Amino acid sequence: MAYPEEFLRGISAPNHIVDGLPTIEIFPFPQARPVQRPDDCIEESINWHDDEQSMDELFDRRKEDDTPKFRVGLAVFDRHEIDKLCNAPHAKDRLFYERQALQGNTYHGNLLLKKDLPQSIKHLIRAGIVLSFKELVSPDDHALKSKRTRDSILHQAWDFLIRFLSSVGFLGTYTRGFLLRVWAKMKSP
Amino acid sequence: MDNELIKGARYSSLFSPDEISNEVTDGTKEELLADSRTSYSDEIFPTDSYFLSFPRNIDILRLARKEISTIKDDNIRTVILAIMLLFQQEILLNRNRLIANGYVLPPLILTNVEDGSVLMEWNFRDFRIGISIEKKIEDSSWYIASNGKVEIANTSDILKLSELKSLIATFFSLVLSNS
Repeated sequence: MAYPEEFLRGISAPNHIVDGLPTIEIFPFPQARPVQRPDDCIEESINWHDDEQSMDELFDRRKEDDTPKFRVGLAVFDRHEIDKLCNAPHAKDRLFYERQALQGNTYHGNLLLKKDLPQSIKHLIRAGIVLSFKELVSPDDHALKSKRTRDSILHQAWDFLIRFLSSVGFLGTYTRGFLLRVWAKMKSP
Repeated sequence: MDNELIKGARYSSLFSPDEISNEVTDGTKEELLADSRTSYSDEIFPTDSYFLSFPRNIDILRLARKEISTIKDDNIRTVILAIMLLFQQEILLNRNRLIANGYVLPPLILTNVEDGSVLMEWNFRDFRIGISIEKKIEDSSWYIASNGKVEIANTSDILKLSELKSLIATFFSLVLSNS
């Protein structure tokens, strides 16, 4: 199965990020997780970063009071670092990951940690997972990037339309000049 | 409670100049015992019964000082306090080196975990140090995790209270060598 280079974890608690780094509480793997799996693992949900919509899916999630669930942002992690960790002696055959598409979220997956590990080993593996952290994307950063992407697509489409219509003689010189002025105004901040 | 912890709690008396003079080298002792004419009196001052405050770039206890009051379990809180005091001693002993070399150290972070344990983390970009104090103190443990970009091995073990002082000194030495 193909996996992307990165996976995402939403952060709702401000104290899970200190001085720009996540604490290991971002992946708690509680022993008493209600979901029982046949492989005896504890799950922690992630979104695979297949494309930008995977971030949209997380940022669009709402709590019961309709406020954003992940108001702190999304932590981006490096899957290759997790692969290295999975092969380390203390994590081998204890740490895994999977895809698990859900209705409404095709990006969903899980990090999996074997149950009943000694606490010291469990903490060591959790710390190793969090060491694969690359960056934090805040809701504002994401909104700005999304706007820039949408604007860029819109401008490219507009530019293409004008050029195409001009090339087939559909637009006269005056009309073309008018439309170009409109386009310039749209581009300016 | 363990003799080791009582020893740890005794470190609170480090903050009287007489106690400090027994613990540090002569050079540092002179500075710490000096009167208000030196700049150190502007930078080190007692904030409450146990803790001093250091320049922010080396004040690794700046968050934990506030967070320790959230720990409900008396035994866990005593162990955490002892650990914090030992870290503080390391800062005092290494203060000149820390300041002269411009070290910027992240803060210790305390987290109350749902299972009743308390996790203390010291997080750097390429490695992490952690101590987990369990409700059953003898089940407590520590870890050092690395992403391989620094020369630190991944390791963990049960926390032995009798070796707490040497463990904290080891952590501090590791940090000074790699940050």
